Amino acid sequence: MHVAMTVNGESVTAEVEPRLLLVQFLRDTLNLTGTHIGCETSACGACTVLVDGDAIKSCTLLAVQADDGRITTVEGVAAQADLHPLQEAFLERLALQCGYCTPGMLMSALALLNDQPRPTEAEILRAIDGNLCRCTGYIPIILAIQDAAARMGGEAPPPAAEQEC
Amino acid sequence: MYPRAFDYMAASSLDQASQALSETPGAKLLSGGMSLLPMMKLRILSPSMVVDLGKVPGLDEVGVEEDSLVIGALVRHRRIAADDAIDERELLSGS
Repeated sequence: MHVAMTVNGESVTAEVEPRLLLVQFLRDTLNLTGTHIGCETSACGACTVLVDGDAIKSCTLLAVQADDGRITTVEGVAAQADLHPLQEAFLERLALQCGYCTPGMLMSALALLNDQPRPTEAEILRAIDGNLCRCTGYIPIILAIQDAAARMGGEAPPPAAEQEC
Repeated sequence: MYPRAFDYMAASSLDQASQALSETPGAKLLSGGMSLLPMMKLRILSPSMVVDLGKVPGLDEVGVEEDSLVIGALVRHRRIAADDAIDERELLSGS
């Protein structure tokens, strides 16, 4: 079947089998391997991308379902060489260790911040409750998202010592 | 690709979806896909045709009609959890 969608701002068209999953389309057809495949059952969130602004698990969406959609993957988050404030905050707050969950965490966090620029801790927890991390214990990730919200709002990030969850 | 091959139809109306379902043995409806797609990936289910409701207009709306709350079949759980009209009625807060 013919699909046409926008991926990270670029128009993409392809012929795909209906059974091709969006994550496979992104990784294998478009070579956008930043989106990871984890659990395959939409539990872990490693494959999270934005579809029309919503955080969606791309292992459980057919590429044909995303026809006409506007897709953003982790490759589309940074403006060229400059990291997005969310990525800077993840880096500086050590919100990752092995990094496998990071692309999905970033996309869920980005969907949250696009919707709610100054989220509460409860809103952050809800936004990332579909993303599993086996390394960090989540606290640095929550701090990084709070930090990114401050940076994106033009405020100085709070000092680390005050950031106990 | 983990699911077995199937025909795919993006229905543009409920009538079209229901016609495809009745005319095609083994056809299944796809809405959010949270149950159907994992089962297809595990090959517990192998529908001959998947009739996608995702493009049917009007199914993703939450509305208030007199004293009833009408939640469309395609409204996501996340939206329900965040919707003001639902929140006002304290349906999810246990009070």
